[in-house]
Amino acid sequence: MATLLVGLAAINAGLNLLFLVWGMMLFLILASGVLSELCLRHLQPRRKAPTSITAGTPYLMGVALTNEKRRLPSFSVEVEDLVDGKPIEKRCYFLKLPAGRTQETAYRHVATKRGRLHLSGYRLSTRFPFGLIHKSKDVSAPLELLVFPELCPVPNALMRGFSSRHGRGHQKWRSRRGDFYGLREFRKGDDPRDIHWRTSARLGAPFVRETEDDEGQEIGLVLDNRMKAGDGEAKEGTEGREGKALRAGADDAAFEHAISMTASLACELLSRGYRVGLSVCGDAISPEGGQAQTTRLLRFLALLGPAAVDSPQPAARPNGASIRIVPGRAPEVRLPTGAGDGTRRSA
Amino acid sequence: MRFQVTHKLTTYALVLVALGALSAAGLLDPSVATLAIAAGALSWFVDPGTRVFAFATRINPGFRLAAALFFGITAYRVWRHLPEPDLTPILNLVVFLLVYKLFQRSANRDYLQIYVLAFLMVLAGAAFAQSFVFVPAFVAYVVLTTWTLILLHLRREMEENYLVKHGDQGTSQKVGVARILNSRRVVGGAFLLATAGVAMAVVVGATITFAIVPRVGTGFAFGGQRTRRTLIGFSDEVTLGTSGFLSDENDTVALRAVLPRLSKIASDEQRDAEMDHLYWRGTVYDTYEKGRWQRSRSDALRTHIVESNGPSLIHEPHFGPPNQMPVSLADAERQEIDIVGVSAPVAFALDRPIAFDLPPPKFGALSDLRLIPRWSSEVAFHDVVGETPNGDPGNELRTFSGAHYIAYSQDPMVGARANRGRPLAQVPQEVLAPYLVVPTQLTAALSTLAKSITDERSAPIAKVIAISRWLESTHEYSTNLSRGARDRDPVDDFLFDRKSGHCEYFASAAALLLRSVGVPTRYVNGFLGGEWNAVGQYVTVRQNRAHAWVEAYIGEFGWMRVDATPPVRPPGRMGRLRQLIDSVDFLWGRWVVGYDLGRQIDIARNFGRGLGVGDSPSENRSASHSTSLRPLLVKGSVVVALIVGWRLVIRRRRKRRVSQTIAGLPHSPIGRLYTKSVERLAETGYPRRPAETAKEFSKRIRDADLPAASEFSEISELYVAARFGQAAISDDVVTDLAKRLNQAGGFRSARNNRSAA
Repeated sequence: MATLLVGLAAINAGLNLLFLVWGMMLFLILASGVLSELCLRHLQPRRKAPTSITAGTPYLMGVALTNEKRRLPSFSVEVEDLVDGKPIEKRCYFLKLPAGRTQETAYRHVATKRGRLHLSGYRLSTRFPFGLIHKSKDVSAPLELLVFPELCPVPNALMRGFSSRHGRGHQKWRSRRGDFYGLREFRKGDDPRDIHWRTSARLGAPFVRETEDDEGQEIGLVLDNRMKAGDGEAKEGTEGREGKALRAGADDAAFEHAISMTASLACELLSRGYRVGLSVCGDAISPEGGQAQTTRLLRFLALLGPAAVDSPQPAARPNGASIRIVPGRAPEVRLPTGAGDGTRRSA
Repeated sequence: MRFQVTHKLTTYALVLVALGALSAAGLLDPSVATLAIAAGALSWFVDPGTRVFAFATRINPGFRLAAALFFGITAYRVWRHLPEPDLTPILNLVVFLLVYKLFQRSANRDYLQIYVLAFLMVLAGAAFAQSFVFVPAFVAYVVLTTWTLILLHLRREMEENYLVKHGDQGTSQKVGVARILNSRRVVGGAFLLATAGVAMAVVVGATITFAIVPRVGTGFAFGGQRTRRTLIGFSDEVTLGTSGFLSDENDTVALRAVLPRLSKIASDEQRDAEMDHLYWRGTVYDTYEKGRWQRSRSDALRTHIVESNGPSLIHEPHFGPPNQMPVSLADAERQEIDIVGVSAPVAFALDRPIAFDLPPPKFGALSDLRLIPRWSSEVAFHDVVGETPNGDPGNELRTFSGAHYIAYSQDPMVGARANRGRPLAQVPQEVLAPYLVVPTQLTAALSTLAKSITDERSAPIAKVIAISRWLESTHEYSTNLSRGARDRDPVDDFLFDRKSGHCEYFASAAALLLRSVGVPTRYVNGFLGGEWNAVGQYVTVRQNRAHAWVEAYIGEFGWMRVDATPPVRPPGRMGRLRQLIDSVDFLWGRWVVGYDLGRQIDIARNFGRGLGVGDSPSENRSASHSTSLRPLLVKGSVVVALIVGWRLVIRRRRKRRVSQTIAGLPHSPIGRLYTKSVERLAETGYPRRPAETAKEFSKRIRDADLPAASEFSEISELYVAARFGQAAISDDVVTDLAKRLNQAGGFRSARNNRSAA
């Protein structure tokens, strides 16, 4: 606006030196464009993605920016990640990036939902040199990240005493009768009676004794991922479109909560040393233990979609303990046949 | 240097340059400038966080009150001078606000306001600057503006973006901006040098803009002429004692003239002697009353302008010989004159101008400078808008922006001949009457005195000589005037009591005394002498050379110049350096301040001739230009084409390299091949499961014993290596794999196998 006014004044008044000032203003704008273009040239951004991303939990995304120019540094550059071509509202700022150098920074972000997170590229932007013009450039750098389901607190009632009701014996607590297998660090939820005091005293940290009696420590998680249908059609006349949408939203929320609960149970059980398997409509993952199984289950659950309502109901292993999770209902624990009273219990 | 210090230093330098630009335009009183610089220097030590700053903050309400008062006074002073407001109070207010902000600079906003105020000062300087001194100030301003704006931007960005640092563990931490502001690594000498280079490019761009933007719109929207500051008055009347005396005080350039006659003189002494007798004739007055010379505006005294194909001829029909026209300009002295520092539209020329040659009307110009007749052989400039006016020719320019023209003169005192004028008896009485009027209250005293001086001499020329000598011998030259009683006539006071005065008094006394003894006279205002500029080969006439003299009509000899003022020491000559500076100023005035559409068209035509296009007044000239420029242009075009071609090749190679390095991306060749293969496998009944990794999927396909499993395994390996290992996969490898996959039958055979099974 100021440039326009000075130009008008110069032309109207015929003041030659005002033309000089006007020219200065015009060329400062031009220089601004050229410098910002130079600033964004030959910049190579790179991500340092976290090892795992869980929905609802903040994660730190590292961004490294390399200035591949031979002589010129870049000033005041902002890097934003693009999700489906749109920038997320987290920016990484680089004040000065000398030629040939790489700088790293990070931004904290929260993925709102599980599944694939498509990062289509970066938006490099700058207001350098004068803050007059905001110049940006999109760099295509697709990256697909898997967001694990959101983890929710597992009800203590569901876990308490669960381990004592399965296995080979009929004892109330986990069997400690097997052969000695090894020692490991105490984890939350371990029976204090398993603490190996002598080792703990020697190493200064609580260690527990493990026995080979892990037979039967398999728990099958059964997730009924069939979506309900038909209810809405029955009530369509009275409910209307808005009500239907609300109910569909509620169903989705219940489905997502069921997946979160399944993931949370899997993590909890695996962290307690159980071998955990998963059954859903039309697919299953055999019981395994350890970190790899945690990742496997979470990846599976991250991408799991609803199955058709007429799909066969997912089945638990016939002779194992299992937890059945149905959207909109509390999880149900099923004990193996012949173990205890064999009843169902829900939390 | 620390970032903060660099920013502060450049900001203060910018303020200093802005003050300089304003001073170069003569818009800032030296005392105000000195005060502002002193206060600014004090403010250097008032940094945020210091005790002094805390004190300045405490007394801030007082500052604000003072600013408000200042604003009120400024508004009143501007309002009082409406409709022609005086800019000085506004500029003083701007300077005051600037100093105030220097004391209160804490946030980025304050710095920005300082830059805006500095810009306003430079803008005002640009609007009024007439001297080339503005150029260094402008160049320095561009460099410093570039620096300060960049530093301000960086500072603002770092304050906004550097507040939080994220860490892997725990909460994010705040980052102290002060640490970065004190860093020496953000900007350094190389940075300042490079950005100064950018600023110089901006200066070049500004110069190009200045040169090529057509000057077509003067006054098109709001009207009005480009104004100059009034430096000396040559108006409709002259009041004795107000202007027109020789002094060393005002050395502003009034006009510059190229005189070929003087350029040919080899001896400096001889040239100086010649220049002491250069009478630059300006305004002429015929009526004296109560200390004021005015024009009677009698039609009988009107100057005649005879238009011809060449210069406009000037003459007085009642005084010249009957066969005066046409006048030959062969013997006349030619002068190329640039009016610089005179606001009145007076057509100055050496005594006695006989012709004026104005430049032709500018193409596209809305107005045109013409000559209009005044009285007593005087002409003035008139700005004609549209058609030639046929109204009152006395409607002169109220504001005048200077002019460039050629004048021809014949000195009435050189080679005086009897046939230059008519005998007094042949001049009509109504024409002579205004030149013989003596105020009634002075008639008796002056008549007695004049008769005693002339001592019954009868020849007009003898009377002139007698009165001139008497004045020179009995009265002293002085610029230190102490007026007597206010109701007393200044000439009467000068002649009989004070007996000292400057040229206006001598000229007025001589004119009235001569009239008392029957010699027609008129009073002339102009300049005497000048300073030779050996560098530019022209004469510079400054305001301190303003002079007044008399023209007396001596019958057949015509109007002769009578200078009754005793010789005084002329102002000092220019030194070599001053000559150089004045030459630059001369060129500046002609090519920058006076740059207009006409000059632009001339430059464009010359350039066109150089390229061999357009019209040309001289075939030889055109040919010589075209032969010199064309090969240069052809060579230049070839060089530009080669550079562009080379850049294109480099860019193409770089793109190819990039396509190889980003092979992990889905749109890369290996990514496309892998995606296509997975799609084909899905079609044949082997979809990739959601949780399945590329390697797991590849293993499953191998276990299924599909025909192209080994090729797919290879593709998967390369895909994983490219995508997750940033490995560069060349296009040739991918093409080879795709070929092998096709040779192996692709995955169609898998479908056949399954259906067979």
